[in-house]
Amino acid sequence: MTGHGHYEVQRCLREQLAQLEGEVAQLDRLLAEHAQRIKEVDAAETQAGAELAAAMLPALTPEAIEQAVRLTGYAPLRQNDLIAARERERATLQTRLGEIEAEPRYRDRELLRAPRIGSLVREVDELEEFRAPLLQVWTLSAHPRRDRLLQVGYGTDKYSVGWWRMSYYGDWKAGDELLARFPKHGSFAALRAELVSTRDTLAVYDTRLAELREQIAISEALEREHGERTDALASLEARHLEAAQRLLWGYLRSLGMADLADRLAATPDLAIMYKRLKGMEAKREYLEGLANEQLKKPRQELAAAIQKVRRDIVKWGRPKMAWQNMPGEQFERRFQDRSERYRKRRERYQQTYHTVYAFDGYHRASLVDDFLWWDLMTDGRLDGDFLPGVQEFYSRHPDHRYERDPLSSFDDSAAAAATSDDSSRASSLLDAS
Amino acid sequence: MLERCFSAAGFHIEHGFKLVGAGFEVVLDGYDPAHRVGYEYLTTEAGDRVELTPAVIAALEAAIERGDFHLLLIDELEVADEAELELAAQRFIARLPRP
Repeated sequence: MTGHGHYEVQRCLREQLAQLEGEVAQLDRLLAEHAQRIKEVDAAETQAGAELAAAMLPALTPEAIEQAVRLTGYAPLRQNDLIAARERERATLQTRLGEIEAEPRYRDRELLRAPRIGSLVREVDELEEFRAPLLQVWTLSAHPRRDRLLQVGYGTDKYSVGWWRMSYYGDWKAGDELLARFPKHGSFAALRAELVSTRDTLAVYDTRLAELREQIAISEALEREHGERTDALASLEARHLEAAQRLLWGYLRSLGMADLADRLAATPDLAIMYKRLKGMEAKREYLEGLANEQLKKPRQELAAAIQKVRRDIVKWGRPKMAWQNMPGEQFERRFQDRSERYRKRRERYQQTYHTVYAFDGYHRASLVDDFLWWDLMTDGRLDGDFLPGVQEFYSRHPDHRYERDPLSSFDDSAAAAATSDDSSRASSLLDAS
Repeated sequence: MLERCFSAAGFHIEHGFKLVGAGFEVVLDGYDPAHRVGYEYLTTEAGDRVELTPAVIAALEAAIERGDFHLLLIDELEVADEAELELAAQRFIARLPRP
C-alpha cells in the first residue's frame, strides 16, 4: 500500500497543531485589542450622550424643561415633576441639618471631644488613668477558679464546702496559687478583700467609660452626618440635573435616526450631536458583530480542530498504527498549508474593523428613515450582510441602494483588501478531517 | 495513685467495698472497714452518676458529717491532673486520725 507512514503523519500532525495554536493566539490577541477598543467606544459614547443631554437640558428650570420636551418630545421630563423632587430633598436636608445643629452633642462637639481638653475626652483619660492599676491587679489575679473563690466566699466564714469533697482541695490549691502572686497579703481573706474591691471598682469605671464612649460616638456620628448632608445640599442642583439628563439620554438611546429629524431641523448643532451619538451606538454594534463573526466563531472552530488533531496524535502514536499509512490524497488534503488563508482572513477583519473604528464623519449622516450607518462608515464598499443590524435594515428596506459620496476620502485600497479573497470565505479554513 | 496514698498512710484499702447506711447503699472504689476511711472516684464511664444520685450523695455527706466514716469524694470533672489529685489526697489524709 502506498501512502505516508505513521512517522510522517505524526510529524505533520504536530506541525498542524502548532499552526492551529498559533492562529488561536493571533485571534486571542485581536480579541484583546477588540475589548480595549470597545471600552474606548463606550467611553466616547457615554461622553457624547452626556454632552447631548446637557446641551438639550442645560438647567433644571421650567423653561429649560419645556425647551427639552420641545426638542425631544420626551414628555415625562415635564410630568415627573423633577423640580419638586429636588426641592423636597432640599427641604429634608435643611430640616435635618437644623436638627443636628441644635443638638448639644453636635453644637458643643469641640468642647466635648477636642483632643486632651474636651470634657468627655478628659474624663475618659482620667478614668483610664485610675483604672490602669486596678486592671493590673485584676489581670495578675486571672485564674480559672478566681471568680468561683470570690463567689463561694473562700477565705471567709461563709465558705461551706465539705472537706471530704475534691472541690474543697481544688479551692485550697487555687487560693494558695493566687496568694503566691500577691505576697504582701498574708492570707486569702486579705487578698479577697482587695480583689472584690478591684472587681467592683472596675465595674463602676467600665460602666461610666461605656457611657462616655457612647456619647463620643454619638457626637462623632452627628458630625459625620452633618458633613454628608452638607455635601448633599451642595451637590443637590448638579445631582438632580444630572439625573434628569440621564433620563433624557435613556430616551434618546431608544430613538431611531429619523425620529428627531423634524424637531432638530432648526438646531443644527444639536442635530450633529444627535447623529454623533447614534453613530457611536451603531459603531459599537458593528464592532461587536465583526468580532463575533470573524474572531469568536472561527476561534471556536479552531479549538474544535485542535482537539481533533490532539486525538489524532494519540491515535497515530499507538503501536498498532506503526505499520499504517495515510493515503496520498487524504494526506495532501489533510495537511495542506492554510497559513495564507488565515492571514488573509485576519487582514480582512482588521481592515474592515479599522474602517469602522476610525470612522468620524458622523455629521455626514442623514436623519432619514432609510439611512444605514454601515453604508456611510464603509462608503458602501464593504460587505456587512453578516451583521444582524445590517440584515435587519435590508429586510425593512429591500430596495435600498447606497449612493456614494463623490467627495468621500474613503481608502479604496483598504476596501479592496477587505473584500478580496471572498471566494475563500465559503470554504472552511479549518478542514482538519 | 489513691490506693498508694492511703496505703502509705497505713490504711488497708479494699476495692469494691459495699457500704450500706441510712439512705445509701454504694460500692466504693476504696475503703478500709477497720478505720472507716476510703474514697470514691465518680466517673460517668463507670456509671457512678446513676448510682450516686444527689439524694445518695446527700445521705453519704450527712453520715460523714456525723462522723460515721470518712470518704474523699472526687468528681472526675474537678481533677485537672494527677498531681492535683495526689495533693488533695495527701491533704485529706492529713486531717484523718492516724491509724
